[in-house]
Amino acid sequence: VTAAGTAHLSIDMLSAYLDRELSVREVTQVEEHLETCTECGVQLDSLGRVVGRLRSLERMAPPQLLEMDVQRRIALAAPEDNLLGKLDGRLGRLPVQPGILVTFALVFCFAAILFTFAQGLEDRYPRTIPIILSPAATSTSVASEDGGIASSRSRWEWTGEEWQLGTEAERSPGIAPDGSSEEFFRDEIEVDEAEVILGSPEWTSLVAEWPQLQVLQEGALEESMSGGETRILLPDRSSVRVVEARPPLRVD
Amino acid sequence: MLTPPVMTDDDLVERHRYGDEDAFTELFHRFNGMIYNVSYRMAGDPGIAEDLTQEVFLRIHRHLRKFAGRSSLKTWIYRITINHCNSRLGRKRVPTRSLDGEGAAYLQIADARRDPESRASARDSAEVVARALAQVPSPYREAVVLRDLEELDYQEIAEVLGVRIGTVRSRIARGRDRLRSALIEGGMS
Repeated sequence: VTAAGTAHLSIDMLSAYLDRELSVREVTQVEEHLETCTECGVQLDSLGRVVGRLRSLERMAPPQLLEMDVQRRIALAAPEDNLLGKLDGRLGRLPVQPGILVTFALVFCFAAILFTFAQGLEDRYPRTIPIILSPAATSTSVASEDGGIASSRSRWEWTGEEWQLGTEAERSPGIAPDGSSEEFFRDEIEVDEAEVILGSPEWTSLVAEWPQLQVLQEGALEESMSGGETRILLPDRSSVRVVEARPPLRVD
Repeated sequence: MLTPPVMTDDDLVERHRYGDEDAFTELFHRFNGMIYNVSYRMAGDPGIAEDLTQEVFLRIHRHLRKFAGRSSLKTWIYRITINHCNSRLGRKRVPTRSLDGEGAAYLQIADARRDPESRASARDSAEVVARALAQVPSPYREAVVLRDLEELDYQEIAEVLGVRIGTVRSRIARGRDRLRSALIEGGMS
């Protein structure tokens, strides 16, 4: 503490002042203090002399044989520095970090091994059941002027041994102009979608056992599960492609 | 007559990466004085400084291809040098050897125009300062060497040492203070 009751400047402050590494505000603070504090002035001079002595040290010239010695040591360290180093250098020239390249290489190797393994499994356990879709079911509705509708739907079903065409008919009688309930048919209405139902309980359990079941067809396919049936809605009935002439799996 | 363009440090790194050994030779000529002097001031012994310098160049040769350019090449080389000196010497005071003996052969004053008397006086003075500097603990000594001998500013020193500027300021101040005490003990006011 100075005679005026203020704190002396720290050695950090004096040292940084010599280096001109203080802010303008700090420089002002130091210079105002030095105007009244001889003790800090002595400290500053003393530090200044130390810095002066350091800076007056001559730079040393390196030994003349240093370059030759360095080259010799680099040559002796050749296996690590030259072979791996050159490889590393070539990787370093690529626009991505070597670490990223190595990661990609590892992921690629892993994927290749997984793919090969999966191929082997597939050869042993085919994951696709080639099924035959029955010819598209047809459905017609006939409407009468009085609002009555007669529908009939035909569909192919697998009986366990062969495909059979079954027909279902339904009638909703309307009211004739004369007030009777005689059926009166006028227009035929085409149903937009063909509906193929693999609906027997056996088929359902079969599908459940083979979740990878694939239906081979050319068009887009929608699948929905409803009431224990696997229902496949084909937007375009012409897209069905029969891939095998026989049922591949026997359902007893 | 056309003069060849001066290659930047970055150019040297790039050429070295492409396997141009001349680039490393050029890099050696650019930085060997700097590395040797820092090593010498850190070790306080010319023989050890020579070993340290060779090892630093070996490390540079090994890692230069990985130099990412996040700092300047000079800063990177200073960092390698300081780290290697600390690793080899330990973070402690180093023993000093008299420059009158075998080591004096390495003391080649750069300014040869001085007369013999002033050269002898300067050498004596340098010896005392070098010996006193060796008494300063390593964290302070490296900061003082980088500031007062290598003339880096505080920001550059902070990058080399990987510390904040406030720490640099504090280490330099304490280093100079320790050096002042050591010089007084050594009979130099």
